[in-house]
Amino acid sequence: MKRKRPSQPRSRAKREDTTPSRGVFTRRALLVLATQAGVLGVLGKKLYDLQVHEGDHLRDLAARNRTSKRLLAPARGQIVDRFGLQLAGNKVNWRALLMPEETTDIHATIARFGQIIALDERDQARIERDLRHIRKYVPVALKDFLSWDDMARIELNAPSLPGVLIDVGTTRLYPYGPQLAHIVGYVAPPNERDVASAPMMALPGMRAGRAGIEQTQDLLLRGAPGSVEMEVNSKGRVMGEMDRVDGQQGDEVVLTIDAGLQQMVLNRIGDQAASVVVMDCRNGEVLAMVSTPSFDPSLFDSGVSHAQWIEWTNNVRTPLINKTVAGVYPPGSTFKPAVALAALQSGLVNPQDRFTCPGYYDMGGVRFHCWSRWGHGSITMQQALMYSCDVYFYLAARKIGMEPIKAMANGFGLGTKLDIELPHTRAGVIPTPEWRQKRGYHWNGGDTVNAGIGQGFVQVTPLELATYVSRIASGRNVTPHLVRKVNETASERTPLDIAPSLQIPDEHLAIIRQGMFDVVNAPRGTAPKARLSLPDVAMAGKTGSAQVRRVSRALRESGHFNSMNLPGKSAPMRSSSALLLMMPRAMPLRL
Amino acid sequence: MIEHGNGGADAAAPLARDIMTDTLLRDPVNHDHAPGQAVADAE
Repeated sequence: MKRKRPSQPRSRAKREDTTPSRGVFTRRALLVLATQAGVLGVLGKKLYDLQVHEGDHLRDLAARNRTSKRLLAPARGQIVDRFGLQLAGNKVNWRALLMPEETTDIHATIARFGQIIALDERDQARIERDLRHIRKYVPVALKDFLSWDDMARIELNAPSLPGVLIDVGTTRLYPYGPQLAHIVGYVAPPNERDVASAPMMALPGMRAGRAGIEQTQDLLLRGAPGSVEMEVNSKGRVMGEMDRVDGQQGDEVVLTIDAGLQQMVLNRIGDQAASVVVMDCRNGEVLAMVSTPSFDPSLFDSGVSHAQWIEWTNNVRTPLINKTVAGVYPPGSTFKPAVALAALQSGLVNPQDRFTCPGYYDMGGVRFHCWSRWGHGSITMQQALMYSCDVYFYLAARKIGMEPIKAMANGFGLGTKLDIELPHTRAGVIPTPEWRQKRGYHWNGGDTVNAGIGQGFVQVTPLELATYVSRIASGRNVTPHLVRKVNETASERTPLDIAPSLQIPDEHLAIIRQGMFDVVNAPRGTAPKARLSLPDVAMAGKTGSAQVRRVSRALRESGHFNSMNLPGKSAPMRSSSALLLMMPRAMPLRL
Repeated sequence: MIEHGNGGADAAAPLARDIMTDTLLRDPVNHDHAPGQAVADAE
């Protein structure tokens, strides 16, 4: 009986032991469970945030760590002549680029690159300039026109050149070089203003038009940029190309120029300093436009050397200036048809009125000479044009005054800024008393007399003269232009049948045209050497010789006057310009 | 226009004649393709 008792407390004790420990375990378990649940919850929340909330952003960051994306400069549009011959195109240019954001020490990388591929002072200066102005994500061109050996050396040393990559781009090509430099123009690396106006211009290989058609049609020629996505390693080395979207090439600009004719004209000119404009007098299409001497436009693509620039700018024959649109010269006797038309239009001079030329004209104590020492006698307007008599036009100018002459000359394109697709064009000057007074000088009768033969203050450009003679030939307001179409879209042309009339009576134009026909074809005309030997082709024309220096009476009377023999420190001091305008006697029928 | 060319009748006239002859023989306005050796053949 007593054996059972001790068992009771044991079992009680056992019960007492068991109950509290189970409670502790339960609390601890709950605590652990709660902790685990909390941790799991936090992890789950974090995982949810990473996967769902920030998933896209983080995926993008990861991809950026693995890939490098950059913009590609588009190929510049072509410029072609009227038959599709390439006047400005692109050639392949393998080059080394540096991605500044993919190297930790830019200058160390450049220095290392310089040990592998020689960088001259100009390269280094350009790289420094680009690094200062270009954003970090835009690559900087280290070296253009790499050879295969250059590229092999760069690839071999790739591990020590972080951020350096080899890229293929294009550079401008001018197949006709100096022959069309003044028309086509040239491109040059963009400046800060270009980049500010269009960030695309910061891309390596982008060029801005700086002259000629390249400048005036620059926005059309630029195109739209493309992009390339590359796989890179942790050091920024390119491991492969993942995606490429080529840029959109700029528009193709088709000119009215015939490159073959341009070449022929240049061959005829030889090494003379001259300007020639061949224009279709029915619609103003410029077929050839030559200004000599010229220059090599491709030299501007990577920057002209200082020595070359000095050579060009010190050259008295001004090779960089397109003289056809920016050179102003006294028109000399080529101005006489305009004076004749103004005289007829004024009603103060009739075609059959005769003026007497004794070889000179005295006014206010000054003697104005005719080019013929013996004079031309009593002559009509048509004869005056044929002989190019100076005295007739002295008298005509004095009779009508400068205002009608200016109005007529301007109407025919002289002394006006012509709207042709070229930059840096200048307008000539048809002076009037008011024009002179604005400059603080008094206009006198002698100024009118001089202007009557295209001397004194009268100045025109060769393009103005070409427009002038085209308008005499057509009687219409034809305007010169160089762009025929852009891509396949024809530019607005001005055919003969819609160009507005100049409102000059046909009988007046007929007198001028006949006088100019006689210049070339009559036995006593001044330009028999301009007569064509082609059958059934009759041309009209007008000669002109503009003198810059005053000729003394003694020298003139010696009979040995030749401007090339005049003394002078430099050629311009004794310069004279020889001009000839030519036009068809009758307008061709076909448009 | 010829700079320092002295007289237009002597210096510019022969040049203008040759250029006009080339232009008329080549006749670029009435061709759709670049004329070949028309001028050279004619001469």
